[in-house]
Amino acid sequence: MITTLQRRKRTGSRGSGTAAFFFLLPFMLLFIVFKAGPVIASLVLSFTSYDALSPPVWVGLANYRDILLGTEAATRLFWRAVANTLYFTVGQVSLEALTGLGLAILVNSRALRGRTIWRTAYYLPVVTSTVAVSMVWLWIYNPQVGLLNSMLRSLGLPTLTWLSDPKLAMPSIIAVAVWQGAGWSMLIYLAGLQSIPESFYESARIDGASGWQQFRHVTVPLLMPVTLFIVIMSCISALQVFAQVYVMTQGGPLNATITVTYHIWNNAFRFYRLGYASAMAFLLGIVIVAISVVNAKVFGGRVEY
Amino acid sequence: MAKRFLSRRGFLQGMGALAGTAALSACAAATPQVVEKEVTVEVEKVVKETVEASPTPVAEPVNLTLLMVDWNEDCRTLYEQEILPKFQEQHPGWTVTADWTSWADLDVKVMTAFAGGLQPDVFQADNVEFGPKYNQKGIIAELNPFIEGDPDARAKIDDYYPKALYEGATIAGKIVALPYVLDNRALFYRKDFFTEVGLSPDVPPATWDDFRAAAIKLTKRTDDTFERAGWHSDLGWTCFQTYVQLLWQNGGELLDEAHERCAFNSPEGVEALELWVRLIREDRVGPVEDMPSIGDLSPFTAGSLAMVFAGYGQLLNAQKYKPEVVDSTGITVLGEKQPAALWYANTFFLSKGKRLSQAWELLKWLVLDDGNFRRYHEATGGLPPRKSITASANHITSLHRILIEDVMNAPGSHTTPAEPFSLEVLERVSEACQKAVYGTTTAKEALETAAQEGNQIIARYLGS
Repeated sequence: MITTLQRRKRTGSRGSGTAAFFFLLPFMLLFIVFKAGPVIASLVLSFTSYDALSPPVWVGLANYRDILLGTEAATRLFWRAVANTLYFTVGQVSLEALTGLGLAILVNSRALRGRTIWRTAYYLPVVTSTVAVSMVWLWIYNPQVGLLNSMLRSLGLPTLTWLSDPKLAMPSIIAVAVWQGAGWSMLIYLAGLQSIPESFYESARIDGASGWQQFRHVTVPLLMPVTLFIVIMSCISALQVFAQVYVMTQGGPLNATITVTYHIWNNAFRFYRLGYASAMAFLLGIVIVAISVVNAKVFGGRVEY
Repeated sequence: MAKRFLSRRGFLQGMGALAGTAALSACAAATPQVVEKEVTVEVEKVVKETVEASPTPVAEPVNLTLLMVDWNEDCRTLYEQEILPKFQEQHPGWTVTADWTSWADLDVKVMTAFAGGLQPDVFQADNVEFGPKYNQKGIIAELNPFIEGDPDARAKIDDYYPKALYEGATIAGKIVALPYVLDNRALFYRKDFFTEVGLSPDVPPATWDDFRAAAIKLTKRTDDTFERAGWHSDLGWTCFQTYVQLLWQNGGELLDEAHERCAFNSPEGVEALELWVRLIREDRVGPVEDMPSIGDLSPFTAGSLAMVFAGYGQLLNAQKYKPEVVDSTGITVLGEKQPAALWYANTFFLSKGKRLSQAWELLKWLVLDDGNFRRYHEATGGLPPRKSITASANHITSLHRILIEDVMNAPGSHTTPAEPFSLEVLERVSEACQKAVYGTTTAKEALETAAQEGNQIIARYLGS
């Protein structure tokens, strides 16, 4: 027998469910139209030969086979792009996390004057357009009149061709990405640092721990959840690197900076191979999920709360 | 939509009624008034329906879209304030919406526009990249019927440099576009530097031996630091543009005669790349790496480069930022077995669609009207593809003439093959140049690999 209270509760929950549905509806609509829909369409296209100018033709798994096992230049370049993307990801994620942690400790220090200004300054590159940042760094890296080579010259050191040397080009792009992204990880680490209770450090000091020991045995373990978040999010972003490559090197020199997303763009929008490019995008998606799972497994076991 | 057009039924009804009216009027005196009135009413009704259904007699609104890629602010002002408004005045009810894009965005813009059914009626693009693909898909209009049906247009067509129109904008015998600018390349050299090192500024290099000797003499460097490079070419994905000039100068070809296989790995092709490698790696006349601009100045304008294969963009750079360099600039068509350089005709296309005849009117207005076309070129500083415009435009100098006429008339000069696979194959050529010049492999090996991969690309396009 349903009591009046139960009926009210049910009515109430139905009412709040309806309200929740309407609150969620705008997001869900946008999500379906601009995210889920294109992703599903792209998945379907990955099984077709499609050039945007004529209807797609179903080819089954041929695109995936060609990408992974083909003999054409595009397959060779795909694997080169995968290697470069992993190189970029490892470089950017590790350096960005370390730089972010260092900056967070610095701007969290009570001894630092004008902390807000410093925090804002370090965060500014994060909110700046990647294309604008890349254009500025093109100037900084200019071998003739660039800031870096001017500094090297003034120190009597040999100048470098930052973006034209196949060995230096990718580290140069990683440096730009780290410069731009470090402010973001700084902000997350800062929140993490401020959430560690002061009593933990007091206890450590009473036990005679040095500053380094406090950092090693209190700060680092307690920041592990933050580090996990930063590493996963940075990996997802780094594996999709495009704008810096597009603006600064176009994948060169000698394909030293070609990345998977740049290779996808090249095939889709220059060579009109949208089906093939969609298949590459899905393979990249699988790699991103796999790396995120591995990160969660590796770091997740070491998270201390 | 269907009401816009004269249907067959409407036309026959109209004609029948008119014929009936004529027949009846011929014997009007013998026709009773009542019959005449009924017939007149019927005729009026059919004619009214026919006129309502017909597209031309009434000024129906026509919205044309134009996509421009080769423009600058002067050109945009000219189009927006004079040329397009005047066109609209002459065609009441027609509007033209212009979209101003860049070469970097053109690929994505045009492709997504076609995919979404929002293609511009008239658009500028590079024929090598766009023409063959779009022609193969049947989405751009063949222009021969328009030209043949229009005596004015026919006369103006004869004014084009024949190569520009019949090689640069014609596919399988069909004119698929109208060239609006020539983007020819040749060897630019600094006469002041020639004088400085004791070379005659009036005797530019004619053969590869001359070229190599001049490049060595013009180079000023200390170890790896170049104060001035004798000759240099960047190694980006368009570096095939340098290679093809050397290839053609040496009598080689990019593709075989049937355009079914790569031919640049021939002995002539290997020699051409070996020359480039020798200049950079042995003679060290320039750095391996790219020479970026110095501020707004190209390396040639800035004086850090003595010779370069370039186009009219280099002239514009010098004119704008260091005009005195123009007086010190020489342009020549180099040759080994034959003088050869690269010419390009960038073109206007018409999208197939319901407004095709109106789009043709706009295209005519832009490139076949002498005044409009000359002013476009004077604003952009480009190389006109029509003889009369070259003769009359204010900005044309002797250097422009060399770049147009000497390049087009040189026996070995070519444009890149107008095939749907050209871009992909040429990218393999560029990669081969990079590998050889960076020294990761020999010129022969690099070209063999590129040819093998190029043949696979061609086979994919040909479906074999």
